[in-house]
Formats: sequence, C-alpha cells, structure tokens
Amino acid sequence: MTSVFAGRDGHEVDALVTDRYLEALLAAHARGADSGPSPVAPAYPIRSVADRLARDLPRLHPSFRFEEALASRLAHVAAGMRRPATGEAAPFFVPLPARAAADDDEPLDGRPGFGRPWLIGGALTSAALSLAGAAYVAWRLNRPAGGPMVRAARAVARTRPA
Amino acid sequence: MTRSAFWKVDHPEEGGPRLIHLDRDRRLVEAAQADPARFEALYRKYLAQVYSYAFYELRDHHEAEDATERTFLAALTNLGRFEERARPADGAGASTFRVWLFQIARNTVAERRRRQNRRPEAPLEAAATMAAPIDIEGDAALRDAAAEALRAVERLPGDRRRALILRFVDEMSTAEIAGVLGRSEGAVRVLIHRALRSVARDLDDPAR
Repeated sequence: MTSVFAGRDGHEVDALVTDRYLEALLAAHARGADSGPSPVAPAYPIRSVADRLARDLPRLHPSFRFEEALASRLAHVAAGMRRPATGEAAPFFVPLPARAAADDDEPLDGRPGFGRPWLIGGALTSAALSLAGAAYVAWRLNRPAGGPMVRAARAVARTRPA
Repeated sequence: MTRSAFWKVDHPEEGGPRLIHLDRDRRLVEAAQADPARFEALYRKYLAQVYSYAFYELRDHHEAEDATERTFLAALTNLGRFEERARPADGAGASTFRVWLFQIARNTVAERRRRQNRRPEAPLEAAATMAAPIDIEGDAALRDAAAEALRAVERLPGDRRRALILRFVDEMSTAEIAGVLGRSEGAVRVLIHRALRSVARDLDDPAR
C-alpha cells in the first residue's frame, strides 16, 4: 500500500483513496450488495456521497420504440455496407447467431446496476421492483434469435441474385 | 493476423504476473467489422449507457435520442477504422471500443450542446417530473432521492460532471474515463474526488 502512495502529494493520495473506495463500492453494487470491503476509505462526506450517488443516481433508457427504430435504421445502413461495390454477384452467407450477444462473457443485457433506479423513456422507475422492468428483462431474455438488424440483412440477402 | 487476446502483465502489488483480456468487446467488434449486421450486439449492449450519458449532458429526452442515434450511426460507418488500443494498465474488462464509442458520443453531445446554448434549455430536474406512463409503483421517495442527486450532479462544472456520470452511471474505470476525456488517470481521479466533495457540500446545504 505504501508503494502506491509514495511520491504523491496530499490531493493525489486523497484522490487515489477515493478511487480505490469507488472501485470496491461499484463492484459491490454490480454484485447486488450495498457495499463491499475496501482496503481504504475516504473521509466521511466523500464516502457518504459516493454511497448515495451509487444508490440513487438513476440509469436512463430510451423508449423501446426508439430502440427498435434505431436498430432498424442501423440494420439498413449495415445492409448497405455489405453490398459489394464492384457489383460482383458472389453469393454470401448471413450468419444468424443464436443470440446477438451470447458469445460474450457478460450477461445478455450487459447493463449493470439493475438494482438501481432506471429512467425509461423519461419515466423514473426502479427496474428491480417495477413490472415494467421485469417485463423488459423477460422480453430481452426471451427475445427470439436475430433482431431487426439480422432480419434486414436476411431480407437484402434474399433479394440478391445468387 | 489476429493478435493475442491476452497479455501477460506484472502486478507486483497483487502477487505477481497475471493474464488479462485486452478488450472484452474484441469478439463482438471483430464480428461487426467482418459483417456490419453483427453491429447490433454492440448497439444493444451500449445503447442505455450512451443514452444515459447524452441525457445527463443535454437534459432533454429528444436531444439525447438524437445524439444517441448520431453516435451509433457514426460508430457503425466508421467501425472499419477502429483499432483496439487497450493497454495492460487499463485492467481486465476494459473496453477500448467503449472508450472509442464514448469519444464519438462526447463529440456528438458537445456539438448538440453548442446548438442548445443558442436556445433556451430545459432543466435536468424536469426529468423527475415528466409524465410517467410506466412509473407503475410511483415511489415518491425514490423519485425525490434521484431528483436531488440529479440536481447536485447537474450543478457541477463540465469535466467534473462528465467524469462523475461516466464513473457512477456508466461504471467506467478511471482508465476508460481518462481515454474518453483525453486526460491522465491521475487528473481523472482528482476530478472525481473534487466532484464528490462539491456534491457533498451541495447536498448538505439546506439553502438548496
């Protein structure tokens, strides 16, 4: 511990202590705990406000309508990017992953902090408790393979001569 | 040629060398670079984070959606130029793709803010009093606590506010925030420490 703080002035040491505390705090929140063990703790006002922000600062999510509309728009752009510029009619295979993000080592949703407040489309809610949050999580986890982006790519592929 | 996904690094304070993954998004990014249709996985993964950042900065739902859309469109069309630049110091789980994406978001939001400054702007606290069609539980205490925290963060100056949002809302590491803001990690640590001190004073001030 001493080597970490060696050669630093007071502000840097305080900032480093706060940083270490935040690492432990946010890691604990990601696990669903209120707080976690930290090798160091900053002064009370900093510790208190960090705990409060980690607990109260809402996450935001755009409306589902916006999410799907933008997904479609990106899909069309992606389909355009896949077209060969030379006009060669080489057939291609559009991979259809079982789940869009399933090959990653994180949860499908990838959004940390479900225990914290969420603001969905401008409406404050708590995803941990609200029916909207539960419905959303269920919808995301049970969504059939291939989103609008994959569907659009498949549509373009079908229209192309082999 | 594909580079190794792991890098052996020395961490004397943590008991010697260990292997870390350079970029947790590597496989998703490579898939999207090979086939743009696979960009959807990255989009779904980071949509809420980018939108949150844009909303905290722009304080307007529609402006935030617009900035989010521009960010992802720019990321998709420029994905071929993205190069992984994760350093061992960034730590396990760091994503240089996320840093790159948020650099785009930061530039997009800055441009929107410049436009916004020429027009009247809605306060962030309006977010907590918006019509709530899906606010099923109607938890007033939750809303009040969140609104108070939102107001305190809103009053912070530029990079202090951004650093706090990236740390607490998007849960970025100090190294990632440094990449997004173009500052050193030490400077980011000091920014966050000072931001927390300011918010602590603000929340304790009964005049607020």
